[in-house]
Amino acid sequence: MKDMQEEIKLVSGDKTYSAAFDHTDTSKVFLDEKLYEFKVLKEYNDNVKVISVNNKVFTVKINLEDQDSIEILTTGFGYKYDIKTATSSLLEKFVRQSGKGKGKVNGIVAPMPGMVVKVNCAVGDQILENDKLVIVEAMKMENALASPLSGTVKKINAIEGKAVDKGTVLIEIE
Amino acid sequence: MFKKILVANRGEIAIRVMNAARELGIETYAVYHEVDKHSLHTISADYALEIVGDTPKQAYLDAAQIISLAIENDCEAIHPGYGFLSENASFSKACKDAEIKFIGPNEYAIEVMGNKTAARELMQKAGVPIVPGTKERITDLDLAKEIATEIGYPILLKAAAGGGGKGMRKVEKESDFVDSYDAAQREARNAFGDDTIYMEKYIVNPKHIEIQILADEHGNCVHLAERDCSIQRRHRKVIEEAPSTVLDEALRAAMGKVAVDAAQACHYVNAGTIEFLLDKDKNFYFLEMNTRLQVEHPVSELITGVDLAKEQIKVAAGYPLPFEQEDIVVSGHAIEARIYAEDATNNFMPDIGTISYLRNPDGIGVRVDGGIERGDEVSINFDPMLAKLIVFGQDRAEAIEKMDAALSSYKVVGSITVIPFLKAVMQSDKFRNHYFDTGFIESEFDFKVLDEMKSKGEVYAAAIAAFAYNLNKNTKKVTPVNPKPSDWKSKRLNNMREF
Repeated sequence: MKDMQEEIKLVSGDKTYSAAFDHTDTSKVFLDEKLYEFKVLKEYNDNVKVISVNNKVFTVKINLEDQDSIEILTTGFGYKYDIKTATSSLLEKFVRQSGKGKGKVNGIVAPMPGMVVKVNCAVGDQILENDKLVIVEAMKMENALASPLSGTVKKINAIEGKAVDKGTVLIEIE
Repeated sequence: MFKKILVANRGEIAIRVMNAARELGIETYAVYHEVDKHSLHTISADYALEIVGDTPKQAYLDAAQIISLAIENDCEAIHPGYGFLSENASFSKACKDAEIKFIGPNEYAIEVMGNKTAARELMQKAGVPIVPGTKERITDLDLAKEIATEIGYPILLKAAAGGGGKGMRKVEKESDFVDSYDAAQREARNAFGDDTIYMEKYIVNPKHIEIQILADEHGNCVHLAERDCSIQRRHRKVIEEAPSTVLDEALRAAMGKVAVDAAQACHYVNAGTIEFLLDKDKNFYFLEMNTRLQVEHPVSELITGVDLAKEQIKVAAGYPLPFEQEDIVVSGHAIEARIYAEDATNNFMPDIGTISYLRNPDGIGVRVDGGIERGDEVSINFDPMLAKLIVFGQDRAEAIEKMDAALSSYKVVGSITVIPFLKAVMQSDKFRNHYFDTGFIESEFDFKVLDEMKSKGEVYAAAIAAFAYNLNKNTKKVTPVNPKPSDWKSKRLNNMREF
C-alpha cells in the first residue's frame, strides 16, 4: 500500500466495516470495497454538515472527539463506531498478548444522567440476566435497569438518592 | 380585554399561548430560569422576567414568586400552560386573592377533579360512568390486595394527584402488588409531593378517548368532539388524532353530553378535557378530567376551527362563548405526533444533547408547535418533548400521508428523537386500518421495523464516518498553523470609504 493510502476498520457492535481511502482525495471512500463519493454541500457550526453520499443527501452531526471513535448523528438515530487503524490494531494485539489489557466492565452502566432511586441487590447476590437491579430516575420517569448477564454482584457503586452521570458503572457483576 | 398577561410556563406551550395573546393585542411576559435564558419561549416574549429556584423546575413551580412578578409588572392575568402550576388549586386561589385572573378553572374544580377519589365520587353522583375500583387512598396493603382480588387482576395503581403516566403501575398478579405499590408511591411522591395511591380495574386494551370542553362564566358549556390518544408508551401519549375512527355521531353526542355534564357538575369554567376509556363493546368509563389546556389540543383546533388558547383568554376576560353546540362542526382529520428526544430502539430512553441543526417541515396543513431552535440544549431538567408536529387532511388517509411526508422533511440533529418511530407507526398496517388501542406500542408495534430502519442507515453512516476521519486527517495536514487572514473585507471597507 502506498503512503497516501490508509485502511481502517469501523466497529459497531457485532458489525465491522472496512474502509479504504486516499489522503490526497477525500471525496472517495471504499467501504467493504464499494465506492462511495462525497460532496460537502453545506457546513454549520457544531460539526453539522450536509453531505451527499453517492448523491443521496444527509444532514449529520459528526463527533470525532479522538482518533479512536466517531459518532454520526442523523435525524432520529445515533451511530457510534470504534476506529481501528493499523497501528491501533497492532497495539491492541500487543496489549492482549502481554495480558495487561483492562477487560470490558461487566455490569450495569447508566445509559444517561439521572438519580438513583433504588438499588435492588447486595454484594454477593446471585443474579440472572435481565434481573432489574437498579432504578434510575431521569426526566421524571423511573427506569429499571436490567443486568446484561447472569453472575454474582461484585461491587455496587450506585447510592440511593445520589445523581449519576451517563456511563457510570452502577453495578459490577462477575 | 387584558393588556398584559404573564405566561407561567416554558417551551412550546408558552410560545403557543403567547401567539394567541398577540392575536388579541395583548403584551406577553415570559418567565425563565437561568438555564432557559436562551430558550425560545424567553426570547419570543415581549418581556422576559427571570425567576429563581433551587432547581430550574422549582423556579417554575414557585407560585408566590410568579404572582409577585405579575403584580410588579401590571399583568392582569396568568396563563399556566400545562404541567407546572396549571393544575394547582392553591395557585388558582392565590391568583384570585392577588386580583390576577387565572386563565383556567377556579380552585374548586381543580381540587375536586385533581383528587381522583373525590372526582370519582362527584362523577358517580352526576351519572357519569366510572371504572370499578377503590374510592379511598390505600392504607392497608392486605386489605388492598383483597379488594384487588375482588375486582380481578390485572389492576391499575394510580397516584391520586397524578397525570402523565407518573405514579402509575399495572399489576398483573398478587405477588407483584407490593413492589408495584412501592414504585408508584415513590414516583408519585417525587412528581407531585403527594403519595396517595388508589386502584381500579385495568380495562384490557381500551381506546383512550377524550372530549374537549369549553365553558364560559355565563353558564355556557360546549364540547368540541373527541380526540383519540390511544397510541401511548409507558402510559404517556405520543400520537393523538381527531376525530376518532371508532365513534359515530350517536356515540360522539352521547360522550359529549356526559362530558358537558361532568364539567357542569364541578362548575367548570375555561377549557378542560374529560378522558374516557372505551372498551371493545363501546362502553365508556370516566378516567379523569384534565383541568387545563392539553398538549394535544391542536388536533381539536384543526377539526373544529376553534382556537382554544385564544378562547381560553377570552373566557377568562369574561367574554361569553361565541358559539353554541350546534355551531361546532367536525370536518377533516388531524393527527399530532410528539417529537420526543427519546430512543425508541431502547425502550424510549430519554436522550440529551445540543440541537445543532433543526429544520421544521412545512406546507399546506402542516403545523409545528415548537419549543426549541438550533443551538438549544436538551437537558435532564425538563420533559424531553421538543415540539409537536400536527397535520390536517381532508380525511384520515390524507392526514397519515401528510404526517409521513412531514416526518421525512423534519431534520433534528444533535439528540436522538422518536421521529423514525413515528414514521414507522404511520406506515404500519394496523395503524392505517384503525386496529389499535392503548396496547399498540407494547404488544402490536413491531420494533424490528425500527431496527431495520436503523441498519439501513448504518452503511451510509459508516461511509460518512470514514469520510470524516479522512477529512479530519487531511485538514490537519493542509491547514497552516497561522493561516494568513484574507484581506477582502478590509479591501471592501476601504473601497466603501471612498464614497
